[in-house]
Amino acid sequence: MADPTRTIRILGNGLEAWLCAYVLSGSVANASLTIQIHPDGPAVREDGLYTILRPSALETLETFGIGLQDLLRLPSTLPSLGQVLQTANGEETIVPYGGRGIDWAGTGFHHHWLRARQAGLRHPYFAFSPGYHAIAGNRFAPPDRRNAIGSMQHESGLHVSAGELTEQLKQSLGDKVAVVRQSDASSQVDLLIHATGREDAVSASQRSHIGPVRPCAIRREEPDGSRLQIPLRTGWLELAAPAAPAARHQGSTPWREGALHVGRSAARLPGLEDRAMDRLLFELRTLLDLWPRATSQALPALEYNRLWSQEMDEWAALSALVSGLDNPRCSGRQALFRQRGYIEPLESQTICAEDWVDALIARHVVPAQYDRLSERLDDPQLKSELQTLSQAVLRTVREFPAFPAYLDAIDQALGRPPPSTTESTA
Amino acid sequence: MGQDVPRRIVVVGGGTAGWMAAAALVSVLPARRVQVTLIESEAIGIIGVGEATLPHLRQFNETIGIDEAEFLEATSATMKLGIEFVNWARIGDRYVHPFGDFGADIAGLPFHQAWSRMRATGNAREIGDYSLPVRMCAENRFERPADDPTDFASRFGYAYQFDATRYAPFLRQHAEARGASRVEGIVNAVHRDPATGNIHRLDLDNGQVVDGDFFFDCTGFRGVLIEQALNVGYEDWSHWLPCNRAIAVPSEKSGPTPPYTRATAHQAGWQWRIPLQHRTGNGHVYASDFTDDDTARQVLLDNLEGNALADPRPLRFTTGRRKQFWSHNCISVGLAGGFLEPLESTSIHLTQIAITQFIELFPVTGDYRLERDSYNAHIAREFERVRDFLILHYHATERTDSAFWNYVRTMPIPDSLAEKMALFRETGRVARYQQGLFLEPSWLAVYLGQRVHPNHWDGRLDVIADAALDQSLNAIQSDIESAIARMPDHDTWLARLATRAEDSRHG
Repeated sequence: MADPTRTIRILGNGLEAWLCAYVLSGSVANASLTIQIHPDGPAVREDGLYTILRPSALETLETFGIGLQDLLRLPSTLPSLGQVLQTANGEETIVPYGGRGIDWAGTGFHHHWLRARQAGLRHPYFAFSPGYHAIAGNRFAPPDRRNAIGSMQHESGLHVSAGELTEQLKQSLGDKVAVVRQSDASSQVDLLIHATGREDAVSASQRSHIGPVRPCAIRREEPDGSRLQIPLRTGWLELAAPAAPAARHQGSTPWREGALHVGRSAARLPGLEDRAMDRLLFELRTLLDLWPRATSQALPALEYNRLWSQEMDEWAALSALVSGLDNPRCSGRQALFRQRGYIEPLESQTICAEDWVDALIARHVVPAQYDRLSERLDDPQLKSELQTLSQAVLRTVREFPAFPAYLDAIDQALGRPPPSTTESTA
Repeated sequence: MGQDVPRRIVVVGGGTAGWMAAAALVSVLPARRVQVTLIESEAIGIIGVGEATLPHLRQFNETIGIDEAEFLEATSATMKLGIEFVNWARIGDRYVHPFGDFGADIAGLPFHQAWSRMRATGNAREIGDYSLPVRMCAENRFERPADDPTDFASRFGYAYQFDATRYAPFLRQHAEARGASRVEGIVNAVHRDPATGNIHRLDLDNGQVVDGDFFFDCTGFRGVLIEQALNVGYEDWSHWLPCNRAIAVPSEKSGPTPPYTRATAHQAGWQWRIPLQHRTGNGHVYASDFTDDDTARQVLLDNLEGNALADPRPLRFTTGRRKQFWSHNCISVGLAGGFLEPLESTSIHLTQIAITQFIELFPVTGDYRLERDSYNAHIAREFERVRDFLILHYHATERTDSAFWNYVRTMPIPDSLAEKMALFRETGRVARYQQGLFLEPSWLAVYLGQRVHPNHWDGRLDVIADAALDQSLNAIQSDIESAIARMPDHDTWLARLATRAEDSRHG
């Protein structure tokens, strides 16, 4: 079947544009399809926004042929177990990726934790996660069946240099993608993808020297927003994230009339900098799923815009929570959670109910009531389960190597000397 | 830990919905939290339309502690792997909507995309030949899914076909054993608090008075509490789903017991056939605007496979839903909450989610407005998504042989469904939802079964050679056939189960 979409032009010269080209080239390229890049600047830009790759992003990148090993080989790449939220007065909350508690008796772990807390338990919610203790103790081990605790498995992500990743993508693409000069840019194309990664105040980044690297990023609250401090093997990257309302730059139709806006060209989502890659990957995956095979792009665009808007509603709500701004969906969800710890099932492919539980509890929104299903375990049973879990978590994390030792092991496995700029920890 | 006062929950109506609610509440919530009283009258019969179920019921039964073997025996249940649709797109057509996927992903892409490409070149068999449950239906085989997720024989689900008139008494035993109490009587008067509008007391025809904190309306279409007392209103969907009557009759068994329900389209509606262990349940759902009751009755009787065992029983309904499922301190469950014809066996499922969602949002304080709003939005979405799926069965037809089919084929449909159908036709993509009962495999079964074929397949497949795709399709078919070869026929499986149950009773 002939593919009617013959020329795709991608506007941009950062990670968004080159990842887009890489994904399209690997998935829909055929003899009749030309993929062009029209750089919007002379050099590849280091785009700090895409430094954090959450576990979900790693999974999706793998499906696009960008595996964990490829990413680990990039000089700046550092494994991560989550994030630390730091208030202005220095109070820290460790929020690990996945693997926090076990759902018993048909209800979520946070309800059991809450019930125990009301009876005097002092452990923070996240303290039932191996990731929490590993971050606190500066240890690291990749998730593996051998360090699972029953059905609970911690998760890990990566911090990468977006510039290095972009260069790698460019090299892999070779001549599969045509670079268009300004003088040729007026020719007709079938689909123009805006992936300019337009810089805005939200994502202004800079290098800094904060101290030894840790297996987590740090989000520091500031008077007008927050600042993300992301360790890389080559030092720390700081990303300013001023509080601002989420914005849809193209309304609810990022794909219309032969033009598609992805990434920051489509929307601004303050507070969700750590999810930027998930969002971009969602957009690319959805584009591929709906790749137009007919002359008209109307129906795929309609479905893309529906899915994107649905997702955007969820992103905007979570962004408002993180930024402390008003959003009706966010306030409604927060009120019900505060009352009884409930989050309704979400119509989202990138955010799940557990993400909200984490985000709310991390911001000290603690429900007044727990789900009564928790009482299917009686008090001694619950106490015993929590004790057993807590001990298993501590025992598991004790087996994790210290983070610097793990990094050394990685270097050895990859056959490279450790980067000279990495500061060792005690 | 936690000291709130137990809530007195009153369930009005003792059919399937009422006893499901009572059994779930007393089985799942601690006794110190709830006191459950169910009011029912022997004088009011059970409608019991929903004899065929969906796989989700297994989870419900399991959660409330019901043993599957006991349940199967008590309700004369048979196993169900899907629904066979006959004469829907064209007279003579048949397809199965199975409880399971078609094939397996190829190169990370949905199987049907590869199948569409191979079909275009004449190198694919019918889509059902690549579905394990469809082939099991065709061969009349049954076995539970394999536990090992890497085994192809793990890739399906199953449900039950049971005698609804026996399910409610079975649940009653279960509920009463766990503390639910039953009161005989018919509600005569509903008393509401003038300040809050909440129901607080019910007067029964026998002079008894029942007080409560929270009320479940399981009184069927009448909606004694939710409508007659609280007047929430009803959203009528008859213009999309014009069938408004049914006539039901049991018949003698004939031949081997099929592990599936059948829905055969007629001139102005359709007929169900639900095989049980001891009889077959039958019913004709029809639109009174397009046929009369006598004709409908005759169509039903003419199409029975065994002798009728009773006089046909008529039912009337209006397809739609309550505008609010939860109003004040009352929730409507089962037919009291809304009605969607049993074409996809959704009645008991919608009852199930109404109950489980309430338990999830079980009020823990006196102010439960937030819970109520969340509940109403959730259940409304479930109803609406099922509605669209049912409309598809009627609208995606090529039949022109009656006024009924001409109407449903040409009627305006909800935009949400029109967009889904157009997208599938053009791209082969099933519109994605994270929530809702019927997900991609179900939509796919009905689209393809009703001759809605995509014009294109996923372009990512173009890099794979025909021979490789052919090999993948053949391998899937081979896995299916070898899985089926290891399975007993359905009647043998049921007989073995009965023998095991008998043996365990005798030690």
